[in-house]
Amino acid sequence: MGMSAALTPTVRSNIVKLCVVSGKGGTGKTTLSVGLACALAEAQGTAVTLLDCDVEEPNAHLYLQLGTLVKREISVLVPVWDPKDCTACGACKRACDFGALALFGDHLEIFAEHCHSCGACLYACPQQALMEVPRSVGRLQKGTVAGVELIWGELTVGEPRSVPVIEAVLEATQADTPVIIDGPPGTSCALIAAADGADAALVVTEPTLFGLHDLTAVLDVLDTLEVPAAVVINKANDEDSGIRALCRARGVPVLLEIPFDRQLAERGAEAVPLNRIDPAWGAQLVRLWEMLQSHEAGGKTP
Amino acid sequence: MTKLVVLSGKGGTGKTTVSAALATHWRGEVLCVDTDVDAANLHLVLQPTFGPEVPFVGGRMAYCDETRCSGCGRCTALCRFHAIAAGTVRSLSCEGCGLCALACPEQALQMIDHVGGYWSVGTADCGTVLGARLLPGAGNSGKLVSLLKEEATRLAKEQQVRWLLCDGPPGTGCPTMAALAGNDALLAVAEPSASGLHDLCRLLDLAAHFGISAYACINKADLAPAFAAQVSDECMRRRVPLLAKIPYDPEVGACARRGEPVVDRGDSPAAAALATLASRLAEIDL
Repeated sequence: MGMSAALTPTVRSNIVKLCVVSGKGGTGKTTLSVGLACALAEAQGTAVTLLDCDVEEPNAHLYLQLGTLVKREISVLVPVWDPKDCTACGACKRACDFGALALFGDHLEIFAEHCHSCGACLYACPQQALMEVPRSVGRLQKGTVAGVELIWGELTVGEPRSVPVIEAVLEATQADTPVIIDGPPGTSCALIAAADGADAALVVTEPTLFGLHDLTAVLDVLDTLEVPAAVVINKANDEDSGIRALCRARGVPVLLEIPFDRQLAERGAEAVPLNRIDPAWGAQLVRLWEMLQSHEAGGKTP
Repeated sequence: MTKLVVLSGKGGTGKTTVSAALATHWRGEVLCVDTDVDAANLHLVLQPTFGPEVPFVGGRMAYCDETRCSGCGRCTALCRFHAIAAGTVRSLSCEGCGLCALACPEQALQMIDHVGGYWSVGTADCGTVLGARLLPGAGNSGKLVSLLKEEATRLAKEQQVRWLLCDGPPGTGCPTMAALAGNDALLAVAEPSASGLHDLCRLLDLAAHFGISAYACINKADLAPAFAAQVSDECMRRRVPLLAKIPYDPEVGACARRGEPVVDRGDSPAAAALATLASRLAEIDL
């Protein structure tokens, strides 16, 4: 990947919005995000907003005993047609790049789950025979406990597109508190939606060849987004599969290592936040946040 | 031929470890396809020698001819993805819908094919392995998954193998749905944890939605016996046969660090459980 020097992320001194990502799934994004949010709220006595943007598999709420929940539907706009005005000219179908429209004789079939809500069909229709209606694709929930406000999205099972749900979660807060985003795995559109515009990203990796491979991919994406990155190595042990060497080469700081420990794994399985398993971890996480504020999070490509 | 897809809902439960073990067991009678195109890892264990990479055109992207642009701003006003301003397209945001090109009075905007990744066919000890890599930030991974599966099905028919084994992505969205569609059976790799149980339920809902018969195994089953029991109850309730409980075994992690299939370690308890899983799957008429 040749990145121009102009795209090299610059140091940002005040990190308010932090996105926790990993590339590989199951490295400990949620453990870290929830632990960090709880530890910060506890130590600094400030409110913290936690956004669970892993909307295909949201899990942060399992870690928190939330009070009353606020729920609402998340919808996208999809076209409907009026047969009275339609002349079956096919302009809408030609304008749709996502295969969401098909014309059978003079009947227009709309495959709403393929629709990307771009509005091209409406624009193309010379008869104004199309209009848009909301279609539910998931739901948004909010709850608060001990200074942490959790907002999470859940994509309805059977719905393919997670991005509109992620965007709804990101838009659901105007808080001027620290915002911690529990991101989705992978490196494609869901990750872009969650990490774009964050002040920094914390990449949680594990010392395996899988972790190393996916860390490389996720650092490439963060470079493209110009989001500075720092790394946490979870399940750390003596062998590190080249993680530290990669981070050194790319100028990305490793800010914390969480060793592999059977007790941590067992309590983690019970969805106990890291700071509650051992308060020493809470203190480490607050230190991690402080280091992010002062440290040069990097992301330079060698 | 039996088409089997390995999924988990939650990430990191051991899909690739299980897939690699099955592939190694079924050596000579299997074709593998890694459909976790965002974070493809199967090749790190099976170590195939890949042939030439084939570009994957994921969709289109707007391109602006600045010499024609009059700066009227119509495209900016219409684009719902905030992907175009002052004649400059932000490729990461462009959805490829083509509305800007449709609306531009100067025909300054064109839609051009966009390469979103590469795929290739490789040869490993166990047999043919198909893999892909998505370029950083590319969209349409579901389309790449469908393309990979089409190619894999064609090759598997040609080779007359017994198994078409698909290592899938985490989640329930577009790439997972693309990976799941058209298979004879799903093998869900569950993790005994609160998150693992929650995500397993969503995955089994999705399989039911597609009408695909599901089987399950629990990885690291002894790490949290209480949750393993809950996973087991949930499977029973849904009439999803639980085919194996794979114990926590440090050898699995050691193999992931070295890039070796765990099955090759005959003395490991996890390897023994995975061997049982492979023979049970072979006994069932999927």
